[in-house]
Amino acid sequence: MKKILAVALAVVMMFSISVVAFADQTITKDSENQYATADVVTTFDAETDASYTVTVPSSVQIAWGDTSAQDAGYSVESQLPIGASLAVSAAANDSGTMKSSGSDTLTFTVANGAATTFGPVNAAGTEPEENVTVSIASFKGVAVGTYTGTMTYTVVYAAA
Amino acid sequence: MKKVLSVALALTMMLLVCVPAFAATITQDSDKSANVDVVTKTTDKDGNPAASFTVTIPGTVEIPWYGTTGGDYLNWSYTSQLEIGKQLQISLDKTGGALTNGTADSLAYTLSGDAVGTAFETGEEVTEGTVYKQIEVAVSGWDDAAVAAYSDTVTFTVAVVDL
Repeated sequence: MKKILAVALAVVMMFSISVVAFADQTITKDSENQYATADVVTTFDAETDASYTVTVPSSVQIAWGDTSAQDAGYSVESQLPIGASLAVSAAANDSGTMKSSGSDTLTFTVANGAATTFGPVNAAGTEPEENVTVSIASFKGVAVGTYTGTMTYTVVYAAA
Repeated sequence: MKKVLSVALALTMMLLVCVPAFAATITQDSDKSANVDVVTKTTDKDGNPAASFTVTIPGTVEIPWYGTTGGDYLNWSYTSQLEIGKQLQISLDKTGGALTNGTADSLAYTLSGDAVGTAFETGEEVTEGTVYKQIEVAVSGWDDAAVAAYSDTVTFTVAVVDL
């Protein structure tokens, strides 16, 4: 009987120690300190709370004969966990071949398409230091027409 | 009023359908790559049609009295960069005629070569550089006409037609 009471008393004492951690803190006139601290802590779900949007052009239109660099830039907006990052790159498909309804082809090249890494937080409209451009070196020797090629933008997310 | 509201609602819905075409996005929930078309226009930077051609003809063909040994020729040339499926068509308004000088005298002449009698079609949208052509001008009756300057006019007509 005494042993049982001793064990019960010990358990109750353990719970008393635990109670302080779970319950609100109280400061009374009798408290040793007239202050107490409460931690304010954020929680998050890395899968659902992190977000990013990389905006790319719907198409790039080039006037006939214009061999200058054409804007094919993208922008990034993100809010990722600390230590996470995004890498964005752009590359021409099929070696930049542009085809038409005829047999002639043109070729476009992509500049500044190598992967650029962005940190966790980027305000809407954030762009790389040198944004992506495309250009056609020559329009000579081919019939005038609508030639179409394709480029691909790729985003790689690296978790923290 | 109901009809006006219905039309306005339909227009608004159509505009909403149009908006996504302005840009493409890659997000945490989408595919991690996006394809973008790179497309040429058929107009230049100033918005003018880009297709072009040049047909060059002489203003005057001078033929010495009794003609040139080896023949007299009207030399003309053309270059083109036309739209897909198009070619140049060049034709002359005559196959020959009479060179006159305002008197009763005249010298007959005939023309022979591409574009004489039958329209000449280039058969291609784009020339590799300038293409040179010759039309032979054969004048006759020198002995029956007083020595003078005789002339006639030949008109070239150029059109862009389908291949």
